[in-house]
Amino acid sequence: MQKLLQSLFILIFIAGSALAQERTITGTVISKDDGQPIPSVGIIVNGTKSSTQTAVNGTYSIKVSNTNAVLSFSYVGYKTQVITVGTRTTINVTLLGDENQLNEVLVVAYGKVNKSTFTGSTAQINNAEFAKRPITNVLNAIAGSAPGIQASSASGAPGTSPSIRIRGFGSINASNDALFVVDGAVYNGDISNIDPDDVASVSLLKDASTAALYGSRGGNGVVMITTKKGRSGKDALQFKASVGLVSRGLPEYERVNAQQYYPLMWETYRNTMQYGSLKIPRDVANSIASGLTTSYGNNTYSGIKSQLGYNPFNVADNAIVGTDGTLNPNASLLYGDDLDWADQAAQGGKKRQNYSLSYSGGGEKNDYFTSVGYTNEEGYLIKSTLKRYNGRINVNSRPTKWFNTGFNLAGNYSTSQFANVDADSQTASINPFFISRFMGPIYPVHLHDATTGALVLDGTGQPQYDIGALRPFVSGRNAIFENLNDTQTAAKGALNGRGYATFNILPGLKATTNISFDFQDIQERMYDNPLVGDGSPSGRAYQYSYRTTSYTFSQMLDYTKKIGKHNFNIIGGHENYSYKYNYLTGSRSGQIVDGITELVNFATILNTNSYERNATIDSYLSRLSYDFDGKYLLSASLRRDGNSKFGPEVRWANFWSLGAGWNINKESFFKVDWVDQLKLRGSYGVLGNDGGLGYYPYQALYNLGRNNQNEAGFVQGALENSNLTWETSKNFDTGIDFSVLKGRLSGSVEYFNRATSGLIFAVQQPLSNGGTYNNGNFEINTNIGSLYNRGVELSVTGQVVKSKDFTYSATLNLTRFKNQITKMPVGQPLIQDGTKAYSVGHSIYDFYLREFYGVDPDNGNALYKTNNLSANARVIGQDTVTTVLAEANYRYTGDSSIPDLYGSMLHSFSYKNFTLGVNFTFQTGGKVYDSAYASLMHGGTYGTAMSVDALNRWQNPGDITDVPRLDNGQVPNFAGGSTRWLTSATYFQLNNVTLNYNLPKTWMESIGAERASIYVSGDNLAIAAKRKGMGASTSFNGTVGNNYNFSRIISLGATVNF
Amino acid sequence: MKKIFSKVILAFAFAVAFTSCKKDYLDTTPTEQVAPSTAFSTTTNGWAALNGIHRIMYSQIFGVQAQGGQSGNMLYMDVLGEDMVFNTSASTWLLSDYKWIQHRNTPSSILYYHYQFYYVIIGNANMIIANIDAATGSDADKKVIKGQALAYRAWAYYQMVQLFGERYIAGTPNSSLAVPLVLQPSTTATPRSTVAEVYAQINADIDQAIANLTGYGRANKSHLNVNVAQGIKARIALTQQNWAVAAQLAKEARAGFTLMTNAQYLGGFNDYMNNEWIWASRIQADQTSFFYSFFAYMSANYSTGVTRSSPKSINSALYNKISATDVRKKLWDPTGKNTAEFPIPTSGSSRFTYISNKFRVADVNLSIGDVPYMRAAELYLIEAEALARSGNDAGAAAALYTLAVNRDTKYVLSSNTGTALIDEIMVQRRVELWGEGFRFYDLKRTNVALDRTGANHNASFTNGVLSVPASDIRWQFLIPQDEINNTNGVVVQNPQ
Repeated sequence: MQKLLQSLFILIFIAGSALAQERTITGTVISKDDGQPIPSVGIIVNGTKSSTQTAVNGTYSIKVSNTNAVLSFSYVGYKTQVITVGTRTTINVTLLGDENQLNEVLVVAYGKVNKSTFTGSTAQINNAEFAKRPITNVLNAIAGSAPGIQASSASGAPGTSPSIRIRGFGSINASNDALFVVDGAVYNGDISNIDPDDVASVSLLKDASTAALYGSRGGNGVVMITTKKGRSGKDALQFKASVGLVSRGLPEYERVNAQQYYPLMWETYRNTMQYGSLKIPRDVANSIASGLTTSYGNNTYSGIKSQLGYNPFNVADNAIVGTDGTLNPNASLLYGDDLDWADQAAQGGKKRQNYSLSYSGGGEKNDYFTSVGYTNEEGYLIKSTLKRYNGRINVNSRPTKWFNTGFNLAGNYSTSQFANVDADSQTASINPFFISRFMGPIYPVHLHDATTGALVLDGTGQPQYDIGALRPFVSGRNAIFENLNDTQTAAKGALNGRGYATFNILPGLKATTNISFDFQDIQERMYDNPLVGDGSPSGRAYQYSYRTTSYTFSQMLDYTKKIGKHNFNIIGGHENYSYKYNYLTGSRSGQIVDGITELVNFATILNTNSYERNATIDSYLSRLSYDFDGKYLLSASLRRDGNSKFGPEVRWANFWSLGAGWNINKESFFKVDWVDQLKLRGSYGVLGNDGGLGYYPYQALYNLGRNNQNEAGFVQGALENSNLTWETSKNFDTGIDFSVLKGRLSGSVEYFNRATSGLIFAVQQPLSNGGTYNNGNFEINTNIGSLYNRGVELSVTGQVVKSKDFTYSATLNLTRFKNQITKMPVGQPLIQDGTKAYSVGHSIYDFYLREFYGVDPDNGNALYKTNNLSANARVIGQDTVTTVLAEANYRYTGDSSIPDLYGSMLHSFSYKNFTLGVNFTFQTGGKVYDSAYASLMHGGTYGTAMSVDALNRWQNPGDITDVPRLDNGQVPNFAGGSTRWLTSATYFQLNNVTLNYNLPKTWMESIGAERASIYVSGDNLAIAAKRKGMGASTSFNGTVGNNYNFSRIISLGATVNF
Repeated sequence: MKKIFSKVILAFAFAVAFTSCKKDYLDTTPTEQVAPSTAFSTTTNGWAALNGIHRIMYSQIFGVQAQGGQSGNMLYMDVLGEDMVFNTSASTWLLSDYKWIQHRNTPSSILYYHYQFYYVIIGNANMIIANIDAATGSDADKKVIKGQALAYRAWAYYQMVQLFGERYIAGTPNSSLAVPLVLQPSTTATPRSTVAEVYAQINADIDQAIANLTGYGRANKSHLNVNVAQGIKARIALTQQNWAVAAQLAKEARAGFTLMTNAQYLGGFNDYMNNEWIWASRIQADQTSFFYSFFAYMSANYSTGVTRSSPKSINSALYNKISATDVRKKLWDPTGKNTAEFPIPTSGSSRFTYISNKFRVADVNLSIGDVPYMRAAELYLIEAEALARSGNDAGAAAALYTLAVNRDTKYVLSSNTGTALIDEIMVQRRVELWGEGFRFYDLKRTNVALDRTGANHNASFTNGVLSVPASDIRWQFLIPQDEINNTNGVVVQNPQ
């Protein structure tokens, strides 16, 4: 019996061993990110030649010889997982996304690469990083995402795009905007047309090695947006919804109230009479200002109320401010609740909704991604809305081994209402930000009885808006009424198509032809009401049509070859690009029937106009990539562009790059086991920049359509420069990518030098050589300058805590760069431009201003430094100072708007099912020229609001202060442009906080869902800067404006996957 | 087989693609602009280049309202004088000019406008003068096109030399700096010439223009015919104290033009078909300059922020000098209460004493109206003044009488002589040309101080500028800072 048992045992053992030797392991590989199966995962049995791949549904099967066999599962973008088989026959594997990103797949010009064998510099933001942020424009995800990227949001209107700058400022007068490429082709359209939920990744190409293949357009870097595609395997349905509350993100400047304002204006008036040419004795001037003396020295005078027009107090016009300059203690406001224009302008819908539905999947021979989305954003400002409807179909098909094809078609329709806030209307009477900021605090929004303060009601018992015929600040207008009663709407349709056909000719050799098409049509309608404003007295209607049509057609050959450890990839081809812009406008005035704003309902034609503009580029391009065993990396690219914007003699040029890399950690001699990856790389190349020059910048032109009555007429429009060509940037980049301690710490350090030559200056011609009736003196675009941007970028990510339930990782991005002009036009060593000047040795954003010296304690005059000892000047210590602004000389102040350091901090916490992301952006150093503050420190413009700092003004001889005397006659001298308005630009902004909760799986089963999460997210939650109200982060050149201040959005959202 | 098939397709596709870019693929041109070679290929096109200048005279200029072509200059010249009165500071349009601040502030738009506006005209005229001879077309056309361009150039330099230069004083060297004399298309900086040099060129150009334009019958009054050229020459001579020429040319210039009737005088000054008007722009509805329009500032009935809150008045002292039977007395309302004859744009608009109804738009829905640049009345006044200043009192009184009796049937031939006669002529001139842009030039030309006292000017709104001595440095406009910058100092600034 014992033997029998023994025998049986042996038999079973032997059988078992025999079985083990022939064992087949099966299983499914899925992604931790989304739980989806991953096809084409490489599986090898370590130490053998046995290998396989997962099928489209993620399943695999492989034979192993013994229980000690080790399987290795690897897939690009995921961490390789190594599993000892043991006695199992089914092994399901969940691959983790590769957090150190060394093996990330990067989207680059004309292809994709693995980050580890890539020689260029790029930053890629994947969908996962912004999927939980309810953004309307995908560019809003870029701010702070990587070093070397600066983003500024001048406007917070729904759907607006931030400006992006990559590695400094390469141009003074041409464009500094990066080139946008969507799904492989240069994109002509509004980025806000693209639903962020459709975007798989955004790549920022920063150096020559990555961007040189965009030739004459890549000089400012490239932003590549790649949309999602379906994954073969399980079909997936995703539904996302979010709702949010919108409010103003940047607070207003601090300004004096009505009780403070009236005495300040009284003092202004008194000083104007005392110190001005009238030289009225102070006591008389006091009495005139109060309104008690109306005749003096045979001249007629009137009190301060006549200057301000309004008396908002319950006392007589000549009893508001006493002769001692203080407010009558009995004065109280008649309509104190109706003085806040900003609040009454901020009565928009203040909410945001977003819904999207996507369905994707695929099989062996095809994959597809489809989506529909709807976004409705209502800004905090009255009449600022965006409604967007979008859909996308992305289908790829592989019908035979030698042919595959696909297309990606996106359609978009949006309607928007927009207020009169943009760069062209910074000081427009209808710009609610301008009006509410500078309206004196004594002027009501609505019409009130001057004596009782009661609202004056119209025939239907409704309050009326006050047009302020007596108000010295924008008299006869009411921005709130006008915005409510005017209409400004846009309807935009866009269609973007990308299609390709690939022929696999030989193993490794394929030919692809691509056709890309972008179409955008914007119909704008405007209507100015007949009662108040530009439309009065009869009403005006305008319509505009802007249509952009562009296509790119390319034919590419792609050859990949592996010879031993030598890996080659070569591409070459031809591409042509064509862009067309059509403009059509018509306007009429004299409204006939109320309520209809079609042009036909207006009596008189005011204007009709149309034109078409064309631009074309013809190109030949090629690239070689080579690596030896993934250790030594080389790349080279060459593109030849012919560009229609330039003259026949100079329109063709070559753009190229060379790159090299070395994965040191792959060397046998490198035996530092705590280093996962260490790569040294560098690149150099030449790119061009043709942006921002218009379409025909080299041609001398006469402008048609300047008819004299019915006789045809044209006028001089532009002078010629047939030698004008693109700006050329020579980009050098070197960096180290590293990952240590099993990915606990990773990052990169880079140095770049972008040297731009042939910098285009719009050389300002003497006024006396003529010009155009609308723009004034001629400018001739000429390639004459040089500058460089040199800097260092650092990006470090640390997995600070990594336990079973709790993880915390943090990324710090820092950039420091120097921008310096190295060559200026002959004969023009210094060109002044607003608050800046260009000259060798200075950055393009170095301030060049008159220098404010201080305030004369004797009389409150503003003093400025000068080189000229005129009659108005005197010497104080080492300085010659003048009281006349025009006599003060301009000088470099030693300040720049370029920060010493800028960067971002991204924090990510996760605890069980909760994740929390916190993003900050910041900059230190640099200055803002705070012109809005300057305008609030005007020092004596009747009717215009004042900063609280005006309370520190000089009042009596002996006063020590830096705020000059209030004096209406001296506004240009006392409040003119000078160093006085330079303010520290250092800021720290809390960009986004997102808290996400993944619902437990057990809950999901009840509704048949696979996964679901809910989140709460806040954008633009707080900013700390030197001065309240100042938009330190809203421009690159250190200017501020009366912009649609950016919005704070608090959102609640949910995502469900089926 | 498949491979061969695919290669065939491929070869075909690539062949098509590579040949698709034609040689002219990269040659693009705008659709709303033409090359200068086209602009001067024929005299037909040359006429279009000239009509472009006519249009500049009533275009929105450089993005600053109140600068609607030449009418902007007209506004500024009266605002700087003493005959136009601001009743309130409610509208800031032109207010700081009224205070005599902006023309002495180098970055100000008034300086840029006055300098660049005339140089844009000169630049376009120089292109015509340089290129028209080579165009295809009749010599008669070339002669007239060139003649008008020369007249424009003379006029534009004349406008500028009065502002940016010192006053011309006959019998002295007049060697102070005026403006750069740019006489052909140029891209290099030209230094300022002296007042004397600029006047010499102005006279050369206007004489050539008169020669070229003699016998030319124009299509309408926006074109410069020989009368306009002669009128310009009369103005130039008057400013140069060249009395004989001024009187003679004034007389020649008005040949064929008759003074308007009293009914026409009260008709709103908006129609260039008026038989007294010699030179004017006609503005069509689809060429409106919107709020840049002269009428947006000066009219009694077109509704704008300025006309609603700050309608302008006449100097009450001047008003009181007008005879009660003079038709011109009806242009202003001393009471501020005459609602029947003095319209205001809206019921909420402000009304003041001495407001004007001289300028009115024909259609209150549109800001347009024709703007007069030269009227026969002015030429009578030039003739009278030139004769009076040269001592020919009888001739002066006779010239004045023709105009004055037309305006006031009770007017009797003046028995004044010498200074009294000159003063009478000047009062007539102030009243007749009120609002038409002459006053600053006249004060400077005649070396008379600004005196706003003793009238309805409110010192609270003038920043204390009630009088400016004739010798004051402020009579000279400063050169705009941009010109100093853009010429790298080749153009130098006036004394500040």
